[in-house]
Amino acid sequence: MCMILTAIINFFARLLVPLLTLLAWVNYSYAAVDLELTQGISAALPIAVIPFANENQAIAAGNQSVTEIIKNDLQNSGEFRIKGSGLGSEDNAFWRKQGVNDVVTGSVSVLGGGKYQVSFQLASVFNQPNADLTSSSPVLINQTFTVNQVGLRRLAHHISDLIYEKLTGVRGIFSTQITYIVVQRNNSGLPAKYILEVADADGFNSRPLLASPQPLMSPTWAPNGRQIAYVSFENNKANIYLQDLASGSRRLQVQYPGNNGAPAFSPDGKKLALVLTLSGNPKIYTFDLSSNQLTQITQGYSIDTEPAWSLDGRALLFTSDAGGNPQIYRYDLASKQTERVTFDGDYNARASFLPDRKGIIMMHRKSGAFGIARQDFETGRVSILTQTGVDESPSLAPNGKMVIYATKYQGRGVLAVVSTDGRIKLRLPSRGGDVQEPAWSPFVG
Amino acid sequence: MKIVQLVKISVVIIGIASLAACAKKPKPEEAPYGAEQGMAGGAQAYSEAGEAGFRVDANGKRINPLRAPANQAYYFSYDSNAIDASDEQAMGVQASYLVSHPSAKIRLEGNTDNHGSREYNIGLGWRRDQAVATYLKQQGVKSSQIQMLSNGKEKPVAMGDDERSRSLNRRVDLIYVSY
Repeated sequence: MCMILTAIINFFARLLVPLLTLLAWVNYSYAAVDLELTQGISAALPIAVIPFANENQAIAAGNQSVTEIIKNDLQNSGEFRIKGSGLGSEDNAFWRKQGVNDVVTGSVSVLGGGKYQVSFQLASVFNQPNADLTSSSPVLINQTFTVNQVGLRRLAHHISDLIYEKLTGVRGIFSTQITYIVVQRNNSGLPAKYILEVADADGFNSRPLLASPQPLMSPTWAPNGRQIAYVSFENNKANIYLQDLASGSRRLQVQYPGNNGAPAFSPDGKKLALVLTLSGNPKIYTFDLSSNQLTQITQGYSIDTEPAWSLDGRALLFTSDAGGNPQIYRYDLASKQTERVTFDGDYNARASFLPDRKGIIMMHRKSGAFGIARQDFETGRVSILTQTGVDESPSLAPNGKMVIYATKYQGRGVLAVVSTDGRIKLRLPSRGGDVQEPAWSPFVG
Repeated sequence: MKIVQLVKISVVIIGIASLAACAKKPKPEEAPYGAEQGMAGGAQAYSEAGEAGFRVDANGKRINPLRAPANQAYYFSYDSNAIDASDEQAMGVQASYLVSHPSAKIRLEGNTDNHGSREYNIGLGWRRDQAVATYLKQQGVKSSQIQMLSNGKEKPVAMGDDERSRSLNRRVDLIYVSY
């Protein structure tokens, strides 16, 4: 259960008074999103998570214990199958019989002054050989932390990250965040209020950044995770704003005549790629954030949009209808060459590079139905990850393992998550309003 | 620091508050009155797009008054930015007004139905603005009199997934910002 009021009050305490004026009139019926695993995989790693000793002395926000949060994280990744007896730790022989590979145990002590000491261990149920093949302790991780009550939830996610990375070799995303737009409708059922929100990757701790009677769209994270850029239609003009999360202060950053849109930070945080209609047609530009210098990237009549940077900052993917229908193109900044990337499907849009550069994720239409797909560079093959017909706005988690996207469920806009191999599916049901345009934050810290 | 913040926020609040302002009333001497079926003599009801005052046809589409200045709505077929021939007369009436009132300004707002990627639809709405602007400029309206904005699919006036709702959203609104 989300302690909305606590979250909002905590958030307001950090805001400048001026921004309060903007938000004070907003009535929050929209609450935290909840994760619902709709499809898992059978080849998940079996793991036992034993409730930490004394952990009912340290309940985190959301009325969950530390191990409850860890279990949800690992389970929702789709890569772990949780076995927990709740009976306290059994011996390794018992766990081996259950088919479990690893066990998580821990304990909590109350230190006083509102502080807790939390220690946890991740241990294999098999003896781990040393490099010289002599048997040694099966303990893989043994760490102790000191936190206050407010830090308990974040600590639980951090422990999930440590476990995940140790056992899969991939960095965990349990401490990352998501941003998205919530649209509230009036009595006539039409959009009346647009709200930019941020939440933890598990949907908890949602908090508003901005509310407006005019559309907000295309939120995107700065690489340092501390700013979000977005398009706002306030004053009957589509301009790009930058907003600082901690202070809540916002700056009108790009306001050329016509539409300003589709902002994307370069990996070094120094530039925005964006779309302007300045030349008469929608084209891709880069905009230097310190010098304000504008560089035109694409030319001509076509609609070019949705630029996305490669991790090394040397290439841009973008959507263009130069070939007749929207398809994905790649522009090399050094050679200034453009080449077409997608040939499968009659509509491909909103692409982003997989972090391992082995392919892209995109919005893809085949047989009239929109879905989310992956294209592998080596084979050129397109794999459809999900296709409800109305899927849009895919955004990759920074470890490249999951994609969050927008879709419809029971007539409402909702967010959903699918793994980049298509095997894991999650839906985040919302209460009130339509949710759209999610963007996954970079790694935190 | 505090004053700067207050000024900044005042600007934003004024900006957002100004959106709530409705019917811009024209100066009486610049408001021509045309004979229109059902209009009371001397009535000068100018309405913002979306406000009451427009009549609609059987499909829910707004009927454009053939007098100027009057806000307008022009509709488009799926995936198209071709002007419907039946709209040309209404466009021509506005064009004549704009030509004879060089300080009058309009804003075109292009919209799309709910199919497809949001930012690409900004581009499609822009294409529809371009089509209307091109037609008006061919009638002699100056570029400086025409502002263009695309809403893409962000401001629908009908929420259904049926073709009727979609057809109401594939539209350019012509809105007078000064007369």
